[in-house]
Amino acid sequence: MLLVYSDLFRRKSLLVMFVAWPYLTTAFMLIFGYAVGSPRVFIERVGVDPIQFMIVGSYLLFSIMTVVDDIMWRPIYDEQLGTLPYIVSSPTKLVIHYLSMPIPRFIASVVLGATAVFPVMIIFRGLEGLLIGAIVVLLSLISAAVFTPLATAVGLSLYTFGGENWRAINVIRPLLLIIMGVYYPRWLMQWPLYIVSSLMPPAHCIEVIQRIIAGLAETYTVLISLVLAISLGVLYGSPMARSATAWERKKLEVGVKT
Amino acid sequence: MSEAIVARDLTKRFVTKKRVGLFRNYSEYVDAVRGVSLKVRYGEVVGLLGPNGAGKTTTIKILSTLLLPDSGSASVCGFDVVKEPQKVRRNIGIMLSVEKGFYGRLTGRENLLYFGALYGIGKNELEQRIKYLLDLVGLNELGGSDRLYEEFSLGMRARLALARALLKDPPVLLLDEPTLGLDPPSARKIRGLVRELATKEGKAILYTSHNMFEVELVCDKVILINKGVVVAEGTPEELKSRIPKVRTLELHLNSFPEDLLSEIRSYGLDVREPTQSSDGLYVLRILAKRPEEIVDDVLRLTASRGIDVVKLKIEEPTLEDVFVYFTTAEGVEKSGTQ
Repeated sequence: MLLVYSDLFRRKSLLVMFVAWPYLTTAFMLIFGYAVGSPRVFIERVGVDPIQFMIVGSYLLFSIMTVVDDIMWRPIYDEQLGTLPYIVSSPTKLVIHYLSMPIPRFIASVVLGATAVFPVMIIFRGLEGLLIGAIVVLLSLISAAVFTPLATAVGLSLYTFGGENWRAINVIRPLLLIIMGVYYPRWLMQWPLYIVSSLMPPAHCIEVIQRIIAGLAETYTVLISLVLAISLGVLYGSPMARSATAWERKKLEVGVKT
Repeated sequence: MSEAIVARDLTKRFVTKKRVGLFRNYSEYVDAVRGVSLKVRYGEVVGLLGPNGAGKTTTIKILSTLLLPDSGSASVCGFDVVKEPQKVRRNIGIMLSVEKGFYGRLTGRENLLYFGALYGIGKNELEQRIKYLLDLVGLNELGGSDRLYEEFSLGMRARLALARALLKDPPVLLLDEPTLGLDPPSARKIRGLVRELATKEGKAILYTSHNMFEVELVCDKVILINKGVVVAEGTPEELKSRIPKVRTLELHLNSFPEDLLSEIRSYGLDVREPTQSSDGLYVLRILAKRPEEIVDDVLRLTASRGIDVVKLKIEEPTLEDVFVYFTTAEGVEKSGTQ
């Protein structure tokens, strides 16, 4: 884990991005939003100031994407670097290796990304903002953890069965952005999109966070959402394990690139 | 010495899809290895030689559990590479590329720590092992321990790759062109280490290379592979003795009358067109199975023509001659009958 941090902290631009990303995407969303609508309409419909909503959304998206990127791109990265043969030929199971790889980067993104959530929440809500910020950080950890099996299953299946079409992985990021509803209150989604969104484990955590900052959270809905998120995460465990096995098998059939 | 690596009739066919137009595909088949069999004993360095695309790397990949063979069997330290890959992995050290295979933003030591952890080596043992290996491959004295990998020269990269292959202290090493592109001091260091590891530590080493000089220096036995088939194997000396007409009688003459060539040929000797050396002498090469038997006749002939023989030597065939012979059409045809 320390080695991943050594690698990370030697990339200054990456650290700057960790801190700046939530602010930049929030600014983009607000500039776009103010150009086509009014913040008052947003407050009336959602029940919370758009700055709070968007900064939390950007932070969530960034935290989850860090994990997804690590999981989805890591095999390609290792193949390009030439490290893949040494990883495959080690006694460590591939799926365990790739699941553990995002943990240090994710922790860094949560800690550094929190530099966006806490200040904004404290400015808008005072001391209560600290508590809300802590809940957001905790739920973002759960979101990323429950999303890992699905992301692994999708990523490795694309590498296994997609051939050269693995680049479709580039489409997945914006798709997630829309489906998970980080920038859109889930309870206002149209029902077909809401159903699709419900199949994504982190979407339930995101709804909890959105309801908390909008003051719409009720104990039982929070609990149900968390149970749903964790259950879906566990449910996707089996496809994840299968996709990892299939990917390794395919690699061994065609030969691990050196 | 017992056998550490045994491969029997390994075959591997690769299929590549080629696209024609927008929607039509067709498949192309390449037989990378076609019935390769080999054995490597503990304490022995075996060189796997062959031209590009001969199947050397494919064989190494199969033995290192990075590629499944279509048929045939192979075992490393008694473990089957297909049925017991995890056990094989615990017993091998691999070096597949000199110029890459590490994380650029980590130092040499950190990279070894990372791979050591991946190999399941305990922290204290790993620290000691890394210190020993960095000394062994000479990276400590080059400052490679605390320098970022992306700043390493090619020679340093090769040394680090060898150190990684030795992390687990495996009884078997599979080295794919470990000196490719290295400067002479680095290549010499690697060669020396490989030889030492086999002789002193009893490791079984399979070593691929294009460098004949190096293979002759390092390897106890050589396996020549061409188009996926083993075309010859034996010690370098045995292989040299198997190629016909490659010993050469070389004469350096002070003059060369035009008709001398045809006169020598009239005795049924295989003589090549003369070349001129930098000191103005004519260099004549006569190929014969036993050139020492024709020396007297040739000297008598030159003396009768008033030509001075300034220098005379008999050249033994090199491993390069063996390589060229067995990997060209002539050699391939004959190797089938040997």
